[in-house]
Amino acid sequence: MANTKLYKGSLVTIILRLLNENDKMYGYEITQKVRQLTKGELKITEGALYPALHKLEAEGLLKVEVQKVDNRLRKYYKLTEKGETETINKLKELQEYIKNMQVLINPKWSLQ
Amino acid sequence: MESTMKRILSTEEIQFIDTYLENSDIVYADIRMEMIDHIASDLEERLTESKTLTFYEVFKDYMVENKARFLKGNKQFIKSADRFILSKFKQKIKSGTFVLLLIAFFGIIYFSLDKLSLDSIKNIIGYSPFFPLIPLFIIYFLLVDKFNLRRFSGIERLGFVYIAFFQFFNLCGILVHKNLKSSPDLLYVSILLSAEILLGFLLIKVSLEVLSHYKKVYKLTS
Repeated sequence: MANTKLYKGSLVTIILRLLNENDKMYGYEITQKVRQLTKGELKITEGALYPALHKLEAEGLLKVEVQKVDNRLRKYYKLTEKGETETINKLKELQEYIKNMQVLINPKWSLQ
Repeated sequence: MESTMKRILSTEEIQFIDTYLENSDIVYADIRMEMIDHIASDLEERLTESKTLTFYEVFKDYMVENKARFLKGNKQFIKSADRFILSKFKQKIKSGTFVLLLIAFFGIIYFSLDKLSLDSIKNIIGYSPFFPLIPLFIIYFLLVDKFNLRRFSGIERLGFVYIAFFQFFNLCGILVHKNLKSSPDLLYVSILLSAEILLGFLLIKVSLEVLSHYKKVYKLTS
């Protein structure tokens, strides 16, 4: 299993990216999608996922809608316009981070 | 190719999970709703895969594995409700309307106090801690009762905000009283009073917005 501490700082970006790809998603669906995409390497716990979703909702990056599905109520999360802009920013930040990390862990040093 | 029929939990099984969570001190309906869907989705997957296990067996195994995490999650959910209310206050305070209203209230109060006797001012100050109780009355006794709301985290957490405001207004009242007893300073009194009144209005506005959010998301009708 992956070192979850390394992924912790990127959780919000992962959520925003998934919601950008899909019109709307619910909590369990997000955990399963991440597990499926990473072939079981990354497991997002509900203890980390829901507070992050609620924080994004409070910040106005996500909007919610509740629907009755399979005998129960389900809360779907969707990106707001502000959320769409933030997704682009967060992805840029993450790509920059990955680029810098690659330079640091795989330096092409020369003696010149 | 063999197709697998997805096992869907019945209304009674969903109700069982709901009651179990409620008995485990997860009292807020909105928090339970999201937890129920998460647990039910996982149980349905396990039941679809196993075929031989019963709902109660799978539920028991699931809870042994995850109950502690869910209880911990409950506290996080409550924090999220607080954060939601706080963000509403921040939005309002940051807006230009707030500053304009503060100046307007200050002006009105300053010139009105000038025309009042010291005893009348003391009376007004004496009642000021009760300002936050007005929205409390509106929300809890009128609207909550009208819409027959169950316990929702954000709405109930507003109660703590009312208490905090009551304490703040009480402190303002004591400070103003002290000032009036020694050397009355209308400027100082007006600033405190206008801040109190404006915060009282802000509390009503935020309370109504929080209630309207829950009404909209959870489709609550009278």
